[in-house]
Amino acid sequence: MKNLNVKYMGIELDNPIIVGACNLSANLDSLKKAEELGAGAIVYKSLFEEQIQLERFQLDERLNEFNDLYAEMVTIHPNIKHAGPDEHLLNLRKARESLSIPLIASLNAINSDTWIKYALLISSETGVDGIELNFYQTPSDFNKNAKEIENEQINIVKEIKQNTSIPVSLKLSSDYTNILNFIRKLDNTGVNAFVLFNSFFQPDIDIISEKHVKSFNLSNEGNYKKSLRYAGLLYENIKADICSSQGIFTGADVIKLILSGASCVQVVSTLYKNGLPQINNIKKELSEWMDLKNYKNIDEFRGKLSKNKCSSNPFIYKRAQYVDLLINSEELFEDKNKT
Amino acid sequence: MAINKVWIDEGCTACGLCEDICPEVFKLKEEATIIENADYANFEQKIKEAAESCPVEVIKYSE
Repeated sequence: MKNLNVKYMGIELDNPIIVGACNLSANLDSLKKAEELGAGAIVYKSLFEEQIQLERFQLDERLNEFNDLYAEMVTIHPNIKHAGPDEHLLNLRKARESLSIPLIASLNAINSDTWIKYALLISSETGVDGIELNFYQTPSDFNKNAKEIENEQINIVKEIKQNTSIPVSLKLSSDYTNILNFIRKLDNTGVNAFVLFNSFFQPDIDIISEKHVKSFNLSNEGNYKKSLRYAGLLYENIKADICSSQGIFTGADVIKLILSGASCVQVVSTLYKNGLPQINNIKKELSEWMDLKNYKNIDEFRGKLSKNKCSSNPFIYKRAQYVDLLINSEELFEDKNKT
Repeated sequence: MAINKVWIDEGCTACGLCEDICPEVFKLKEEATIIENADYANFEQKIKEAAESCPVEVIKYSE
């Protein structure tokens, strides 16, 4: 097999295929299997502040539900407290000790203080190789403007970067007013990588029962195109690495994203739909294509079709509408040159 | 109608999603399996959710 080595967040990876944060990546057996099948790295399932808050609330409810059963009772339980993120930290530490490939933690918090507190705990107590901050807040406050939201997030990143020694990546949604401007500001904090983009739970409705239903949102094949666009726009315009995510199913998808400028990719949905052996299939497809094209390593073609290097078709990364004049600009320019 | 039978067709990718959703009925081994004598009646909603969420649609049930 070809040399598929890449450097991501300053970490050497055997290949650019990273298992993204999901339920699969919280199970030790699956982690070991993903390693055996050749994953370049794994992002452990996210630590969710909301989950901890919910568990803490449920525990308090259970401990206090019978307190007022008899007038003379004060409490029937000793003073037990929820362990907070301790269980997650313990599992992360166990996973780190069990694997030889890089393991990245993932964090999804709500409050600024918690972002920083949990990030520091992960960094100092688990031995992971890096931490991925999973930024997403559904706008729910009509009075909060985009600048306030962005500044809050930038300050969290600054604080975490200043106080941790491990590499930090940011997994972002594309739902910012100007994602390029926001990424540039974040890039200036010294963050090591951007993971583009996140997939989120979206509510759905059953029209027969007229109730909301839970739906597990897996990506579909072809959903990588927005990630491809932004990898192409960002390559060589920021210092941080680009990791593409969302809708990446095959070796061909990975090749396209690397040609656009990504250093590596994260896969999840394809593993749910095709099983963990898909990691090896993707690597094989990538390696065979490199053979066909006579590429010795990934750096030889990374970013080859990014915006900066794609002078023959300057509009390809900018267009959002179907305008023949611009979409077919390459042919038009060629014709003009001939006359 | 109550669920009286749950089974798994061929093609399970062992993703473990069914066990995450309904550990009372599904257990992941090499592939997903149905726990012997599982109580379907108390977990109907979760069984249906697991079947609907299965990425390869191999979880089946009859009512």
